[in-house]
Amino acid sequence: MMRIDSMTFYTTSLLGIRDNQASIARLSEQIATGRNFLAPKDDPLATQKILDLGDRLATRAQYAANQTKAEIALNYESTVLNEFESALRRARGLLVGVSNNFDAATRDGHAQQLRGVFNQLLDLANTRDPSGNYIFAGDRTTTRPYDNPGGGIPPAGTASTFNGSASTRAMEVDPGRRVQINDNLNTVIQAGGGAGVDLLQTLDEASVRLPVSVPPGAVPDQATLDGYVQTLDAALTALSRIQHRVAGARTELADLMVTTKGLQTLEQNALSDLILVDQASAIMSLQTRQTTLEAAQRAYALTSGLSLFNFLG
Amino acid sequence: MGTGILGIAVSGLNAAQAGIRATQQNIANVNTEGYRRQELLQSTQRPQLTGYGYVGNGVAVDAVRQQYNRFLDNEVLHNQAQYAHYQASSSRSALIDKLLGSESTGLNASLSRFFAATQEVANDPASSATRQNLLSAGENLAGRFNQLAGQLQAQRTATNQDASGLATRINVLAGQIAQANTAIAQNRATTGQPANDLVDARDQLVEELSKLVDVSRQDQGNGVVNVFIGGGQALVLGQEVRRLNLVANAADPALYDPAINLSFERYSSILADPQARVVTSGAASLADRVSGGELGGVLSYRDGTLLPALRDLDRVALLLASAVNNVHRAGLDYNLNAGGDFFSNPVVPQGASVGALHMTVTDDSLLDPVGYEISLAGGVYTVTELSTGTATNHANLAAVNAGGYGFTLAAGVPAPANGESWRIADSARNMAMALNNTSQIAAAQAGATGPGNNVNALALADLQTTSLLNFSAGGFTDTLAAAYNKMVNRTASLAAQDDLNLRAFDTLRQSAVDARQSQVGVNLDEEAVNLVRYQQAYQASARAMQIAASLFEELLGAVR
Repeated sequence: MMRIDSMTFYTTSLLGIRDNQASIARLSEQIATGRNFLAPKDDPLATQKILDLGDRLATRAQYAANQTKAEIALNYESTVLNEFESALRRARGLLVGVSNNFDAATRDGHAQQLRGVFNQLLDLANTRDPSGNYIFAGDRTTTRPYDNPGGGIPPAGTASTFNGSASTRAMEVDPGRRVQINDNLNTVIQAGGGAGVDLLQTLDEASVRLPVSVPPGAVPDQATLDGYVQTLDAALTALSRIQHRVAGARTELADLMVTTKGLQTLEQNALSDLILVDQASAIMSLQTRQTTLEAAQRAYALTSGLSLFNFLG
Repeated sequence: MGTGILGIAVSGLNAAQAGIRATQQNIANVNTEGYRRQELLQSTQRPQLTGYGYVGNGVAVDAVRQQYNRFLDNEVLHNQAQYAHYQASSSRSALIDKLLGSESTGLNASLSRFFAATQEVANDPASSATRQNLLSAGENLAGRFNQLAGQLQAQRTATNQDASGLATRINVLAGQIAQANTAIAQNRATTGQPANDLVDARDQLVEELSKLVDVSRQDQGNGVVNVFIGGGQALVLGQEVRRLNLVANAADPALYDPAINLSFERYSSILADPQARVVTSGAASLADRVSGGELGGVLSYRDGTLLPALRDLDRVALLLASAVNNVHRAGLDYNLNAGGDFFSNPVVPQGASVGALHMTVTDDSLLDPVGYEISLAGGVYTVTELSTGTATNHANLAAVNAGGYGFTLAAGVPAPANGESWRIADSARNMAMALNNTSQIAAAQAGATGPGNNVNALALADLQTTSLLNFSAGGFTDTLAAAYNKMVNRTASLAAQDDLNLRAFDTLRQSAVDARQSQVGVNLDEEAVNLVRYQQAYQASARAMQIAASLFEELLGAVR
């Protein structure tokens, strides 16, 4: 039989009380904070996973933001391109409809409408985004890219100048995945293909040669009018190429946004599973611990009163 | 014959009184730390030879004997030392565990924010708002590195203070043990009896010592003990002591290791001046030899947990700063001028030096853990590895780059000049912004024609997902964030181990103490029984004396 000294006899139940109190304090903190781990050392491996997941979520949130910004930029460009297209189609309709038999008033009216389209296209080519950057200027976003003073001397129109750069810009929408978010309109403006001939110059020429006041030698013949229409057709073809690219990019982006959203949810759930404490089982453990603590306290109260001296007269 | 019967009764009274005193002493010391229960050793006195044989002569008290168990004493010493070790290391590692791993003080949030800001610049490179955001994110990141490194370095400084304070306390205890040895030896020489209470107090001092450093004790046999620490180095031999001092750590001269003096001194001189001092000779370093006690805990925490964390943090800062700077310098700023450094150059010019050396880490596993000093004189570059002090001369930068240091250097603007020197160390503490103006951010690539170019900003953003650290098998394996998270995991694992060991040795220590106490501790019920036993013996002896006295009365009456 083991001999027990009095100090040990009285202090053993104190150890039990101390351990239970420590457990209860920890469980209460877990329940109050809702967190499973109060310090990395509570579970080093889970901590690394939590940190990795947290980093990945932060990165993904930034990519989601990039996607939204790219989407806005592409939607904006797409709207501008559509307007550009309808203006081009209106000009084409006007030119196709021109005939030498038209009366003076109609010819003057056509000429004026073509001047309007000329101004509209020039404005659209110099569109700025909400931050004030020219979207068709390449990397020279602070410089007005297209210029054409208009009002050439018949039979010639004025040539356009391009002050932007040919580069385009991309945004990173996923690790290693970039989406081009702007274009330049050089292929559209220089649609005539011929040296020194461009879309704006063609429209300027048409609008200065159509009016009735133009000297007879400068009035465009049918072949010239056909040439104008061909230039506009080439411009429309070039424009539709850009529109297709933008539409493709928007579709790709929409898919990516769905995927990103899904991954964000998955990772967020995985993170919650790691971080958050299981409240039900924590509360149950707390109750068990409380019962044990009460038992230990009761045991101490009982044993501390035991002494042979109590019975010696 | 008359003196005989009275004498026997008196000897019985004396023995019972001595027994009651021993019992009282036990009861009084029931809660005294280190007290061993005492019991009376008594024997029959030498009997008297008479014509009819030997007649008893009463009882003699031989000694007051102390209960002890040397084996259990040593168990307690060992487990106590290990418990104190893990108590010291666990409380300290818990601090840096929380520091590195918490959302509010760790690096993760600042690192994510910095790279998010590079993305935002890429999204809108000409905007001064996104550029301003990147500047403040860079400042925040550098500041976070500074704070973390500052905290870890403060802990590093604290370990020096701990080592010094503990060595001094060990000196005091060693002196007191030698002093007690002296008193015990003297007492023994004059009385021939064991000085139980002195021995208890001395052994309690040895136990206190085991909380500071792992000790082993050797009994000389005359009540005197010798005490050894650090795997066999004599600390106390009888009445003499070897003082603990401090020496500079071999790998990092800013750190102190405990060292034991080669020569002995009297306890009186060490008690008069116990302070441990930094010395350069006459002492043997105990680094790597102290494995227990608070001192062992502090050293193992310092070398195993704190320093690796600080060096990892410095490495992450160094690779981040050099990689970001190298990309940034390759680009063009808002005004299409060549980009400069984004963060202050981690190859820090010393003194009046102004020349720039740009660093590219090629294999971070080869980097010196403390750092480098580089100097240029007479066209020769001297590279000094700070952890070993090894200095090597190189005829030019190409030779430095072929030196197997794990990094290459390129001359920048202004070019390095003779007489200049640089230092690569404490990168996390030194990290700062080199830029202060939004237009200096080089978002554009070389050859760009306007501020709308974002190619270099994209390249900066790509550094977030590029493996830049932990070179292994021919390539880097971890991103900055992953390397940092590994470092948090490492610290957390060590802290968790400390906790586990702390609990294990708490149990072991407790059971060793319980086992010893069950032999040497006082049980009040037992003492109650002893008290009754001696009380009855006393009453019986008193009665015997009364009878002897009444015999005299009878005799005197008969004669009268």
